[in-house]
Amino acid sequence: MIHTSDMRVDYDGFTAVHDLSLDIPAGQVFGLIGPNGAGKTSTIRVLATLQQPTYGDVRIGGIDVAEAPDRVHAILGYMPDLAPVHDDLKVWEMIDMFAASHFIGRRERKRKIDDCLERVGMLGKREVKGNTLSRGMMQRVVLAKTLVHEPKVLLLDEPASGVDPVARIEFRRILRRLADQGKTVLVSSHILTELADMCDAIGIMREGRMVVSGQIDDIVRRMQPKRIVEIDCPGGAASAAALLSARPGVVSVDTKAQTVLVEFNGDSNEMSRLLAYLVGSGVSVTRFVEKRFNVEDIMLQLDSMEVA
Amino acid sequence: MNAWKLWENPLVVRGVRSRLRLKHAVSWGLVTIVACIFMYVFVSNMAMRQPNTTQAEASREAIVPLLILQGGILLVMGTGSVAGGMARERTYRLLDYQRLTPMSPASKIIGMLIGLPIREYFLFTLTLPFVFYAAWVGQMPFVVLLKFYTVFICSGLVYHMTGLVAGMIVDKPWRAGTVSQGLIFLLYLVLPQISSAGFTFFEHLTARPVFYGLLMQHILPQNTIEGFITEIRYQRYHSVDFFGMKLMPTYFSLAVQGFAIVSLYVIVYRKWLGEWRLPFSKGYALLFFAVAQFFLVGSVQPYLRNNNLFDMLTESASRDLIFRSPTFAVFIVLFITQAVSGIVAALVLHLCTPNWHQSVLALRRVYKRGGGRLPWSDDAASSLPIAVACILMSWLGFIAVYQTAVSAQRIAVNNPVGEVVMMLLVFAAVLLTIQQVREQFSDRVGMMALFVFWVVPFLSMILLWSAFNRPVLGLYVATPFPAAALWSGTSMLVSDLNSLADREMVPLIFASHTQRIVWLTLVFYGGAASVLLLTSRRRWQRIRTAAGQGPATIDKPATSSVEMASAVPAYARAGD
Repeated sequence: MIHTSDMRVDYDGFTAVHDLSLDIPAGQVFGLIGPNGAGKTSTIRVLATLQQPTYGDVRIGGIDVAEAPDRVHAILGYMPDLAPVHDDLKVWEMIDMFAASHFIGRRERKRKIDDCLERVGMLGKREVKGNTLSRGMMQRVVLAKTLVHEPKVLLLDEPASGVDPVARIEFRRILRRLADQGKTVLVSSHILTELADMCDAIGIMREGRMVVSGQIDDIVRRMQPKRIVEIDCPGGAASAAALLSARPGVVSVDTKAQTVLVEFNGDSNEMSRLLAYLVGSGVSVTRFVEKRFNVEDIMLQLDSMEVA
Repeated sequence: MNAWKLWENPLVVRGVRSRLRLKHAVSWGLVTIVACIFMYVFVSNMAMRQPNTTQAEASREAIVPLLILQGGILLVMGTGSVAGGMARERTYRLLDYQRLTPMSPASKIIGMLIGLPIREYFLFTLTLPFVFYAAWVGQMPFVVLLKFYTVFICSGLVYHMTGLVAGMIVDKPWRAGTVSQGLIFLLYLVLPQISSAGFTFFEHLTARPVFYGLLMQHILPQNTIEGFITEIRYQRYHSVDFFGMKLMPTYFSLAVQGFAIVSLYVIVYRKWLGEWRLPFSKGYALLFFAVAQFFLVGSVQPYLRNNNLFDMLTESASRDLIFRSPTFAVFIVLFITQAVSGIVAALVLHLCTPNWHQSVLALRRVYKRGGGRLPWSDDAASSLPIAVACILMSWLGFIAVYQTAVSAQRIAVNNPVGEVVMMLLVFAAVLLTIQQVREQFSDRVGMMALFVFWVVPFLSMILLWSAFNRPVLGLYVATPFPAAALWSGTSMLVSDLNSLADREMVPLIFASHTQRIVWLTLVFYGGAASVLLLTSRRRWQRIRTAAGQGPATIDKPATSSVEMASAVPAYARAGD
């Protein structure tokens, strides 16, 4: 649904996005993660037809954004970072304006406005003016505005920045529901944990480059080729470490108080044999768990690679 | 969506909701109505105190302050609202939302144009009954008011479009408001001064000619000395001489303003489509310059050909410009003709010249489609052909004006051919240099060049002339400033420099230097243009090379450790 190949964005004197190739299928929530200045906003603005790439192909729903931006507008919903609202309009008036701009009839508009406001939990603020809304409320109103014409593709630039934790949880719920409805969502953030739970796939950008991208499990597998197993052995950590270090597939063993950390090369069957061997050797095991990388670990790993 | 169904246009509706809520409408409306009542009652009663003034005459006099109030509301406040509102939407990126709606750009522009100053339109409407009442009591023909308001509203649209353009280009809302209101000041107070030198079309961008030429005849009593003086003073507004025709000021104003509105619309339309777009396409840039030349030459020619108009020009030159000789009037006409042509050409080139990135990007598209080169009319193509066309049109215009002055025997001719050719070459060299600097360098470098080669020499000339009493040296120092060569060259064209009458134009001490100044300017700009044209060939070669390469080979930064991770296939390939 969203496709870029070799997309590059140059500004005077520097390149904001380097040769970005991206393919996001319909119905997927894709998280674009990266620190400030990584090129996320430039990427999203190009996808939203608000900016021209210096190079590369960009297609939304199969439509070339450079050739037919008007056709893209009809299927696109865009929410910028620190989403501004019209402070002199009431909440419903603002959404009404955009609904009318998308040629939604007057009767249908009223229903849609209420529906969208309800989806983002802002129906109670329908009559409130934009200049009295908090940051989180503004984000929700803009999301409601973005949803009013039921776009197939949503581009959300830092949608949860500046909102409270409860609102963030709510945001995730909304996005998941949208993805379940078949919408393709590209959401950016510089906060890792914000995206980890709600995205089917992520891409991590640094200095304008896509450093790593893919489904989270794939990335974890790529970033963590060796398994790390944490084993709690009350009273027998040292003997367990000695036993394990002699086993095939074990790369390294480390102990921390009663916990043994094992870097291991084998598959799941070999791991279960490892547990059986320990128990069979009379070691008391109270916890045996594979430590999985999360998105934060991936970032740390990338940092350490960069430092190296 | 039909662009003209205003009541359905979401941006008009938005304007009504945000700027015309009941409390706003009532409070602003009340203030306006009170001001109108006060003006009408005060002015008509003050007029009634004059001896022999009838009720009708007194009522007609009250129309003038009401019109000034309307001008303040619609032109000044309205333009500020449009420019400020547009700049605010752009600064806070609300405009991006609107860009992404599938409404046509025409609907968006009309919606903004009516929606942003909706309060001002409302207040203007409230003042209309007072004007019509004053006209009714004053027994003024309504058709006169109708003609006036047609031009007045049209000029309002010119200013509001100017506000939209300012709002789309200037960043800060308050600055956009100030810039557009400054433009109104320029149009109403500065450009009419040029109009008095025969360039009448500038003044027709405002409602002034129709006000003076049409409305004032009916407002002021005809049988009084005041009315008689006014009649004489504003005689030039009764009709417009354009080439060999005599046109009604109303229609001429509508033509000039229509041209301005269309040009501003083109800019706003293109900026709506994409902020990165150049304000003018190549085709419209040519059309704009051709029409501007047409208005320029058409306005000024009759003043040189027709004796009455020429006397009027000399008289107005002596009144407004504190010079007396008829030769000087011709000198001013020729000087302004070239200066205006040059300024308009520079503006056109500024609006249609692409930068490096735009050219590379467009060329890549062409290559991708299997094409070989950019067509001349492409936005991203070089503006050199436009510069050449502007030069040719300017030459034709100038020769037409000069030839009229010669054939009407307004100037004594010495040896014009060589001097005219030299002037034309200076004009061409300066314009080519401007085009090349604009095309090859950034805005900052362009502004720097302007400052170093134009402003500094000009200020140095003033200093040398006034503070150090070295005027000749000052003139030589000012050689890079094209106006100095223009002034010197034009003075050579009009008559014998040693005659006493010409001391107003060029002090006698300069007489022997003028030709040298023009030569120096020609050498300076001719050299600069030649060098820049040579480097331009190389630059376009580099653009073609850059466009032909893939992204990986262009300005690729040194390999960093991050690239180690980027060796992981992009998401598209990860699933493979």
